[in-house]
Amino acid sequence: MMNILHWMKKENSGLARSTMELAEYEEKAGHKVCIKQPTEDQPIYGVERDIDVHCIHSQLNPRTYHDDRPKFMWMHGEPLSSVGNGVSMKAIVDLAPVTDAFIAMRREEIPIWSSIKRTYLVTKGINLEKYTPLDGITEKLSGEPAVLYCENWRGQRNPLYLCIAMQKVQEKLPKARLHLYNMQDKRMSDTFNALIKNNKWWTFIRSLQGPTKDINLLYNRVDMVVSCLFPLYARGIEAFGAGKAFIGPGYREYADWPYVCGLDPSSLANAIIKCWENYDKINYREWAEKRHNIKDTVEQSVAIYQRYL
Amino acid sequence: MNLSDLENEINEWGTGPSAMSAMSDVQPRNAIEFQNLRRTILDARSRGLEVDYAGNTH
Repeated sequence: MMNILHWMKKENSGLARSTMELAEYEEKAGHKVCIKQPTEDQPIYGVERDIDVHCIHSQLNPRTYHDDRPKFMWMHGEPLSSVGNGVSMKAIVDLAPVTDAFIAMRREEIPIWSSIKRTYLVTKGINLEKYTPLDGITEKLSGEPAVLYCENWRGQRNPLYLCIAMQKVQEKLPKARLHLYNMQDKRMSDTFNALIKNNKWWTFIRSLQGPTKDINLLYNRVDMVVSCLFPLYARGIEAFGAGKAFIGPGYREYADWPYVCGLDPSSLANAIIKCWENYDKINYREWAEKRHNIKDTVEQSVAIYQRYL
Repeated sequence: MNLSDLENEINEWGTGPSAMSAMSDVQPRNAIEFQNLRRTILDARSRGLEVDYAGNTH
């Protein structure tokens, strides 16, 4: 049994969700967990006592730099973006000397993070008790297929290419519909409302909505979730947990995944059509259980921590 | 509070351009640099400008 301290900033982000899932399943595995913000003394969860291991998700309080406890930095971000935002990569490199190792969740990132610090690869898992198929869902969103976009819209993270892709999908699948959720920025909303009107996308876009409280319910109301992220895929794999297909240009680390696509409208469209035409050939829930179970992530990461105790 | 309660709170927390950009918050080696950057960002935002985490306005 270990006492694990997670350093995490309170932010509405995939990083926070992933950290919380790790903490929950570490507890279920019998470990004691504490979550702290780097700049605050009071934990946001648990008790800081006899810490065995530090897990860095956002930053580490300098007070702990030399406490002789093993320190692991979880690489939630993507290396190019970390350079691109002008801050993260520099901070990661500066912090590397006080860490024992990095932990990454995508195989493609290993060469980059390994150039800075020894890096271990673990499964990118999700909470399969939370993201799960629901029985008796009758109020499905419109479309055959009903396609959902629900990324965290910001900057270049937007569904423009997916909207163009859906034009092509509609030529082959006239009943296909797109539902855009998690829109939180007014300028983005104005932009897409203008595009929908000018390009007559109202023929296939049926929703332009903000965040939803129950994201698992939303997954259960559609056929597939499509991301336009590249080269990462972030939290879109939650759809698999709900038993739905997930398509994303960054999802390419499994050789047996048949719907690999590129970040261009034509490639996205082909993947959506191919997925719909072969929809029942894959049990998406089983796919998640075998490849994206947070229990596996915790088992693998705890085994790494133990090597350093 | 249990972890599920905390997880339910996430939607109420603020968002940033990148959660990893939180790396800048307590970076002691470059405290002055980051403070200046933070000031630039907050100043730009207060003037209604869109600004990225490198301090560039658009």
